[in-house]
Order: sequence, then C-alpha cells, then structure tokens
Amino acid sequence: MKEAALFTFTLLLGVYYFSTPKRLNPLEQIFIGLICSFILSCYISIFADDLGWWKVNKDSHLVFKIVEIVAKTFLLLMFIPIFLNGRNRFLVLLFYLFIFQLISWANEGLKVVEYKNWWILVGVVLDTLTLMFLTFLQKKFHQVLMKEGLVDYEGSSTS
Amino acid sequence: MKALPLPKSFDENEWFFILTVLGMLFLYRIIPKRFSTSTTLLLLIFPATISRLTDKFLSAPDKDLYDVFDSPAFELFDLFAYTMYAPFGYFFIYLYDYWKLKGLRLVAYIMVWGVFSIGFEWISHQFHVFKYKDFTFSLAFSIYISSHILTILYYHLIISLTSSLKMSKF
Repeated sequence: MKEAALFTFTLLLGVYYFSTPKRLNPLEQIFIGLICSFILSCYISIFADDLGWWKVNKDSHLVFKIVEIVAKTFLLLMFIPIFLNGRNRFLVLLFYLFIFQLISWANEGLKVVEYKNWWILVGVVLDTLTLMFLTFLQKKFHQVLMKEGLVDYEGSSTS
Repeated sequence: MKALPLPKSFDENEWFFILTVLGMLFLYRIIPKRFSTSTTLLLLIFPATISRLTDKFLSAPDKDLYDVFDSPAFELFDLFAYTMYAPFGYFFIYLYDYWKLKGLRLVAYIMVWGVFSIGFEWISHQFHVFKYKDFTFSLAFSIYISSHILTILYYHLIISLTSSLKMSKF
C-alpha cells in the first residue's frame, strides 16, 4: 500500500510535469535531468549505503529509489526555472524546501525509510546546495546548449 | 563508515581506470570533431548517468550482482568510474553517425558493440574493477544491447530537438 502511494505520487508528478508549460528548453531539461538523477542516485549510495543515515525498509528499496531519484528530479526541473527567474527567490527556496521535506516526512511516515542523525536539518542544507548547484550548471551551460549548440559542424547529422 | 572512502590500496584496478580514461581522452582529442558542443555534452552525460542508474537499480540489497573496485561501499573511485562510460557512448554514436548505418548493418553494429562491451567488461574484471557475485555475462550482454539501442534513440531525440530549436530561431 505504502509503495503504491509513493509510486502513484511519482507518476502524478510526472504527468503534471509533462502537461505544464516549461520554462527550460528541451535540451536544458535533458541536461539538468540527467545530472540531477546522477547526483540524487549518488546521495542514496552515500547516505543509505555508506553512512547509514537513511535506514531503508528492506521491502521498500525500489520505491525509495524511484521517489528519491525520479520524483525529486521532476521537482528540481520544475523549481530551477522558477528559482532562476522568480522575483522572490527566498520564498521560492522556502517552498522548494517545504515540498522536499514533505516527501521526507511521507517516506518516514509510510515507514519506507528511517532518517537518522538529524537528517531533517542536514537534508535542508543538502537540498539547498543541490538546487544552487543545478541552477549554477543551468546558467553556466545555457549559452552552450542554446547558442553554441546550434552551430553546425561539417559532417554532422545536425546540419 | 565513511562517505566516499578512498581505495584501500591504490592498485591495478585504479591504474586500469586512470589509463583507460587517459586513453579515451587522447582518442577524443585526435579524432575530428563531428558534433556540436551541446550534442557532445549531452552524448557524454547520457552513458555516465544511464550506467549510474543501472548500477543503482541493480545494486544491493534488492539484487547484489557485483561490487565495483575494492569493496561493496560506494567509494570515491566508484563515482569516478562512471566517467569511463561517457566516451564509450560518444564513440558509439560517432561511428554510427559516420557510417550512417541502417537496417541489418545497424543491427550488426549494435551486436558488435555488445561483444566489444563484454570484452571490455572482461578485461576490467581481470584488473579487479568489478567483483562478480550473481552476475552473468549473458545478463550484461542484454543490458549492453539495450543501452546501445537507448543511446541511438537518445541521439535521434537530441538531433530532432536541436533541429526544432533551429527552426524556431528563424
């Protein structure tokens, strides 16, 4: 039941994401989405496998990975352009952290995972740093993906 | 346990990884540039992420197929190891685009790369980059074939998105 709830939440989040207008161009979405899922999957390995700060229920590993990687990637893809272009970035950041904490509480409430070592506080810092880093990457590679990226090279199929 | 522990001993698996990455960087530098910067960037990120996600979803405790490098822990070199896959995807698409493969030739190309990937996997195993548990080469072969097909589909997606972005500019 708990797995179904979290899986359904991820699916609905995906449907919402794909049905709403995007503020990032498709190439940027792919770029950010790939890097984001890479980083989030590394968090699982570091905090669950190496440090043991996330004690995942033995029957819930798959759904935990889906929520942590897929659902959070969708959320970050939604929040990065809002954070980048929004007028009140602090409020956006607070809302983003609230949503991420809600997911953590849902995971813990549904007994999918047990967080240790004041994870709620550490998580806030980590989630903020993740958003900042991905926003930095988006700004840094925007020109590459939007302008340089559209320059033709001889022999390429893009020409 | 520590986060991203350093290797217990800096031995043949770490050296194999470093030399492989250096070799691929050298190859990348000497071959003529074929794709735009954005396509190159996206082609390099995709295999690294796909291999990371495959490893994560095939990893313990759901399934325990293999360990990477010295221990079951997620070591610093485990993280670096994914950079090894990035040029593979790039070279795979480079040759695919160069030869403009279609039909049976494309099927053969994917199969040859599957065999080549297994060969590389076997060499990595000899250097103790991977320590196999419930892992079989037939499973690896099917995963490699699937990932090669996925990479081709991904390449076409990038190309079509790039073209539509170009069209929207004019």
